[in-house]
Amino acid sequence: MSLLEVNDVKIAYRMPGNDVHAVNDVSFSIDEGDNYGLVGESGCGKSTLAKSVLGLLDDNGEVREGSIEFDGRELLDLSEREWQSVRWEDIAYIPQSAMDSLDPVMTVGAQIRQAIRKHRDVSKAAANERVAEVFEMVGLDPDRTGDYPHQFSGGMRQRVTIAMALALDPDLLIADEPTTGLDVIVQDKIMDKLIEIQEETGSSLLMITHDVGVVAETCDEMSVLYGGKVMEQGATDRIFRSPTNPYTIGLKNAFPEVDEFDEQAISIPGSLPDLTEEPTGCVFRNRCPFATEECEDGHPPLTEAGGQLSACYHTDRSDELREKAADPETWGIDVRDERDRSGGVGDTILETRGLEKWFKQPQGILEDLRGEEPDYVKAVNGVDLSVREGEIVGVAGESGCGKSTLAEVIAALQERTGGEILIEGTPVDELLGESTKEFRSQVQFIFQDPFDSLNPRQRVRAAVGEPLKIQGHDPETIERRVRETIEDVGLKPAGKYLDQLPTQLSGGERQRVAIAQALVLEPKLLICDEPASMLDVSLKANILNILREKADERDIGVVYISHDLASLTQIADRLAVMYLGRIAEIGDTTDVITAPKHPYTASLLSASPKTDPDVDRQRVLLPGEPPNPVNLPEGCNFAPRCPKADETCRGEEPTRSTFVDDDHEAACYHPVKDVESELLERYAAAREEEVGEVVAEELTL
Amino acid sequence: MSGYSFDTDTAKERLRSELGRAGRTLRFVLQDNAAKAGFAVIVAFGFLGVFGPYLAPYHPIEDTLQQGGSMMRLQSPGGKALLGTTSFGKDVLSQFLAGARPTLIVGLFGGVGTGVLGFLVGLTSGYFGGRVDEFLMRLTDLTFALPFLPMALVILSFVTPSVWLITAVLVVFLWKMPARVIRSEVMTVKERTFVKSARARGAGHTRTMFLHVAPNVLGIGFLYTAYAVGWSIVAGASLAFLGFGDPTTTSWGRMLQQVFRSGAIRTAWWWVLPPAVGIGAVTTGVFLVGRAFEEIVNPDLQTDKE
Repeated sequence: MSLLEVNDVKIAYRMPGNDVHAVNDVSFSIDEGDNYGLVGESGCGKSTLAKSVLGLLDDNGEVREGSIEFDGRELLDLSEREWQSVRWEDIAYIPQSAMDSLDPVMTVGAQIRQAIRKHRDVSKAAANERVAEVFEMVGLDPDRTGDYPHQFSGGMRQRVTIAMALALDPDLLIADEPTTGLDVIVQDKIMDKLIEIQEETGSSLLMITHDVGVVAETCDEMSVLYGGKVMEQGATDRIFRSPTNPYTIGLKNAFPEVDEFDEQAISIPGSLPDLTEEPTGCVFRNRCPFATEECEDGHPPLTEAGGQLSACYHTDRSDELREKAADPETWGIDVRDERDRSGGVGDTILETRGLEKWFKQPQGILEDLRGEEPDYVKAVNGVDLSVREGEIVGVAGESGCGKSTLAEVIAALQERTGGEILIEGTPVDELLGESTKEFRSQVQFIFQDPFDSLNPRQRVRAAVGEPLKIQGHDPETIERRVRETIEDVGLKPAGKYLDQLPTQLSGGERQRVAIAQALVLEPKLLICDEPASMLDVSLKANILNILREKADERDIGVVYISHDLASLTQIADRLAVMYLGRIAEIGDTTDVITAPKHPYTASLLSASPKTDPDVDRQRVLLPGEPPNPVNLPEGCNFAPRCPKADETCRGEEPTRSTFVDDDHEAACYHPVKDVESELLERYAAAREEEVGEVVAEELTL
Repeated sequence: MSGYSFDTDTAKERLRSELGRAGRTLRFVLQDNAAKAGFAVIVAFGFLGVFGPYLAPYHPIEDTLQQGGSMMRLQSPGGKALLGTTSFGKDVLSQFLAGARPTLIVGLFGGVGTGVLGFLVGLTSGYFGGRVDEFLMRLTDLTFALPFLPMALVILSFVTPSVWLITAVLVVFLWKMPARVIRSEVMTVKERTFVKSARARGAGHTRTMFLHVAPNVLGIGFLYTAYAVGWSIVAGASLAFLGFGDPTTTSWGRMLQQVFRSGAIRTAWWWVLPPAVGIGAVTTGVFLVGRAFEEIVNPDLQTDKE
């Protein structure tokens, strides 16, 4: 018998006016010891489902129909008191944002102990023992149970939440986007740990994520959700090898792999269906390029198709659909002429020389008076970067590596503390001289969060026209250029959007308005700080395509900052990888991706999950965390974590030109030759040793 | 504002959209029953303030009511004087009607003045931060530290009080409330991406402050203006009660002062109730509408709407 059985569940949220039917007739079951994946974009109902399994739906949400059985027991009939005994004891939950889910005024140990003692009648000492045990399981130092959440890094906090979920040895673990918001390397380590623990304890895992790659690597079975409906269901391997549903096909194609160059990203046009009524036709029909009249009559039932279940009327033609779906034109995307790309690079627009941004650490008045040199956080530490016309330079790195600071310093949103910035050979100070007008007309910025980057009180017309107004153009010119630019970023017809307020637009549309705001002045340099990272996979590709197109058309130089290597390889001509304020490696995107020389770059690249179920990837178990940026080690910043480091590395910091091959430069004395044997296996071996030591210690005790 | 020019069309267009928004807001506010009652009281009060003196059957100060050759002292309601008379034979109804105007002036101008001054101080302080913030906030602390009534009495004992002077004194003492709240709200809005985005698009400080930050805290500004109207009326009445009102006009506060001085405050209920109920009703009305308005201004609800 299955452990968890969800049968024909319908969940609706009561809203003023209309109810929102978030989940409609969803069924799936999880066997004991299985990993199950629920995949879908935001708004598909996956988190709602997870909450209903825990009985934690929001007050206005209710399960209208169906049943949720756990271990043969109907969960929907439980009283609140009964729920309390099921939660954590039988079903534990790993929340999405570890940053928020821990109580900041309680030590982490006390928080876990509280969960244990609530359910078990054990002494404090016994509970503490268990806390230490689960800490060890998730790879945290058991001596740190007395620390407060803020003393842990993001990845470690997520480990704490996992430890908390494990405390009572539950039968089912629900992980709601457990690694979203974490860096790839950390994600890789956490996923590895999670799977290892789960295999050890034999519990089942319900994994909820939008990240197709994570599911492909961890789950045995999965359901693809869209608009509150299951689109495809079955064994993960089969679904990824031969998806039969147009939505799954589109989702898989929209999810780029790190090493797929020049393959144009495919996005799914249109937006999510309106869920204020129960669906009358296939929920995907308005975005599906293969929709026929048949698709209007009711959502298709899940039918057997090639070993998995798929909700589509056209499963009989799935091979044909897959082939067609690989062509961007099927999805209404204009194919870019890749040949133009290489020839379009012109003069240098941006050059930075030894750019520095150091943040002074606060110190007491006494230290100030004594004239002590304060500590600095060297967020950007001697960066040389150049961007030419029509070129997109990608800057990659984990959070805290200084990439966003770099972007803001170049855009003069923050003052630099050292070095030089030249725009077309002119120092920025000269451009900024009397007013910022001149500089702003040449350098523009696109922000990460489209939901917050537009003034909620400003209509699209005013928002896009504002930069022109500031430059002092007359109303007719403004109106004309606003219309042109809005259509140019794909918001057609412009008239439909001009009078909209930001709240009336979807995330993708908002980000396009933000791009239009930046492009309307026809700048020479565009700086993008993770412009697509908060959008759903299917929209991401769209934004990338627009940027690439504009760079080619208008000969704009683009600095594209992102932690997402896959989107960088698709868009960037050259790629720079930053680590702790310095550029570790830079070169042609293809060179850097296919033959990374810096051990850090190589680790970062290998940590990206793959959607291809046939690839058996070695996980990246890079030890440690980036060191404290206040007290950087002598020599190479990466040396403390690097398996290849020797005395030279620890003694003297390598310059960027330590390894040079044409344009490809890396700051490393011992460039990587073979990633597998030189890095990944050594990481794994080092960890084995560590585990071994712990075991040995325990034995001697 | 840097690079910002007004032409009549955009001005009209903006005005229309602002009026439209005001209308929508009002409709939303009036969905609340308590707010409906409050709004009715405010409208009635506004009407009295403008037309009250013309409606009054007698002159509130000059006319002394006579009956059978003698002055009608402390008559209970009925006969010539619908709401009775004062100890000097003045008509209470006429005093009540005429007294609405100075109360309205003090309330409206004191409230709006407080709102505007507090808004500007809060906006500047919150937006620029640093030394500007330090200076303005210490100034606010200073006004918080000074007790209102004693200070106002000291000021008013040196100069002859008039309605306008009293209004000015009220503004000087009340602006700190909205300033504090607006400042903290501005500090939140300032951190949002669209403000940084405006800077990146080339907007100067003035423009960013007034076009991007200010509209997003305007709701709270209005809310505190509404509350300030209530505070001003109460504070103005308190001053008048203590005998520091404008001696040449009749106001509700002054009526209460006179009934107190005449020693009839325990017996002449018809003289006490009209001004007392008037002040109570208007301030309650303002707060009821303000409370319903707060629902809209509340940031949680704000994002869902519009």
